[in-house]
Amino acid sequence: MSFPAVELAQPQNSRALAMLRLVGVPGLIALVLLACIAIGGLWRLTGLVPTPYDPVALDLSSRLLPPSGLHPFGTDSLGRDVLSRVVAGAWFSLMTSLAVIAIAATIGTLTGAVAGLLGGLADEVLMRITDLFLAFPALVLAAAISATFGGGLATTALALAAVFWPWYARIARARILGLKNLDFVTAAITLGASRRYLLFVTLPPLLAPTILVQMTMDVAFVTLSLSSLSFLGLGVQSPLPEWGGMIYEALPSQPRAWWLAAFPGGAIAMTALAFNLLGDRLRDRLDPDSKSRGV
Amino acid sequence: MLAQLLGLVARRLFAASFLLVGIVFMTFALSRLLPGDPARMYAGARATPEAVALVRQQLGLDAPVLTQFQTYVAALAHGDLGLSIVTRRPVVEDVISFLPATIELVLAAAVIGILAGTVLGTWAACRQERLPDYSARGLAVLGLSLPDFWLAILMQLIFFSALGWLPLGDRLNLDTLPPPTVTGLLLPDALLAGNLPLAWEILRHLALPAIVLSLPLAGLLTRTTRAATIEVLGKDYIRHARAKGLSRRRILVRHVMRNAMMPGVTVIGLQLGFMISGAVLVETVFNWPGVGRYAAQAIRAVDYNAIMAMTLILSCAYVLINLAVDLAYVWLDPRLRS
Repeated sequence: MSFPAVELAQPQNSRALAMLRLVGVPGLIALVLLACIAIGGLWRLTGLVPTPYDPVALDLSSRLLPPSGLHPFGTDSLGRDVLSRVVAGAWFSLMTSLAVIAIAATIGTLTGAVAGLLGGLADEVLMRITDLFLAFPALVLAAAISATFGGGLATTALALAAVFWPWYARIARARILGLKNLDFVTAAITLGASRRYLLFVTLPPLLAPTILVQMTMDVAFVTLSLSSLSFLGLGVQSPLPEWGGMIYEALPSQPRAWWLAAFPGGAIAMTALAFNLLGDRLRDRLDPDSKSRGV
Repeated sequence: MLAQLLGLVARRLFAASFLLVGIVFMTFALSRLLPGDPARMYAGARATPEAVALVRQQLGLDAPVLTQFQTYVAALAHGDLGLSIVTRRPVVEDVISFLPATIELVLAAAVIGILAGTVLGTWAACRQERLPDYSARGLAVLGLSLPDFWLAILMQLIFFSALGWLPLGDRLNLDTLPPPTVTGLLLPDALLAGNLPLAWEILRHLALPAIVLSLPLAGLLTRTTRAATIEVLGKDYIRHARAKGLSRRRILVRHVMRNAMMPGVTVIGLQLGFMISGAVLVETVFNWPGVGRYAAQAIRAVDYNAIMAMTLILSCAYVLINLAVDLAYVWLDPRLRS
């Protein structure tokens, strides 16, 4: 999937421009989202208010105002500014997703790589466990785990990590199996490299691109899943802003106050769209096998 | 040949039953990991310690874990998934009453998704790097990126609030009686009863939720079909068919589409599984009285028995769908049989 990249007037050989052309519009959206994370984090961690309004301050005199110059995204049923909440919500929605991916990728890649390297019984056992986790519909299992431990952001994040790691295990194992018999690995073993040395020094550079592409695409998938769980009432607890939770809170005032659901949902959609496209581009760039397939 | 085929089917069946056992074990483990005391929850907050102890004994929670697992499996074998703490009815009864609505919704979404994905994907492949291709690929990535519960709300805003073309939710208007039950699915039932106005009303209620639920499938299937069709179009046997002077349409339908559909089958299976998750969200927005909305309500009400039962049921459905797809694949692709 590739939309025509941003055409630059004068192609130059600078690295920055090459990078910009690679990431294109989706990359720019990702940058904006990063800025939102920073603003949200600043608010959450220091108590400063870098957004137009305090994201959790109630103002009962200006409830359910439609978008206007004062409140570009309108206000919610408690008079809170929706724009401020969407921006600050990036901290909860996106940082949590990134944390989920980091945990899932670490556990999954290690499991898969170990299984692929060791082979035999260890491989069999680890992969059957992986299969078992993949046998559940992802969102249903994550919701069950999160609900079992009482909901909340940290619990939901761990539940999502528990659902996403098996994919990394599979990918890593498949990649390791492909790499294991290559000459340079045999050479490393001949030179006396231990399994641990192979796992942590020899193989990572070759494993990294595949895992990175998957991580980029998963930003989209995990953000969608996290907001879905928040929408079900798991995840961030009110009054803190989180995109999925905001849409859930908007339900009673639908369809009258359209701006309550439209903007936080738009943020989720932008995130998912940007990272899906970014993942496609990275894959075309880093993983030559898939280039011509056009999927 | 036949022995090999049976062996393959047996292996798939064995793998699926292994997964089903694993699912039962995992849901049991989850239900015993509950942070609170289930006996106290069941007895209520004001119960005396004696009452809680009694409930614990009644629920078998004082027995060793292994015995509890045996009891759990024995109950499962009798179709007993416990009582819902909210409705105070057996969860199984609840599920049975909500299931037809979900089946109707998922079937409708599957039909829409498969049709749209196949047609768009083929069309995009035949008009590569031109407008149809770009729009199909754009739609595909949108279908994969838009959160379905958000899209559901947007659709309501557009087609109910702004245009007034379609109803807001539910399976029927509030004052309409459902058709006599034959299949439990309202649309076929209304058609069987020969009640066309009622069928039209049902269809109007079904349209939005089914379209929203079908989008991820439509998106992914468009991509897969497009890629597979492009690959098949380059094959020698297509050139051969052209050289024989076969009409474009015949080549497309008989030679290209049949071969390009194979990878799509996997996608369909995978996405039917994801629809189970999607139904939980879409049914909630459209107030669709199915098992998905029931599961969402159970989660909000912290109804542990219902949550665990729904996890078990939905996961088993997922495994069975995937099994069916695996078997369909064997049936469709002769190469797998040899």
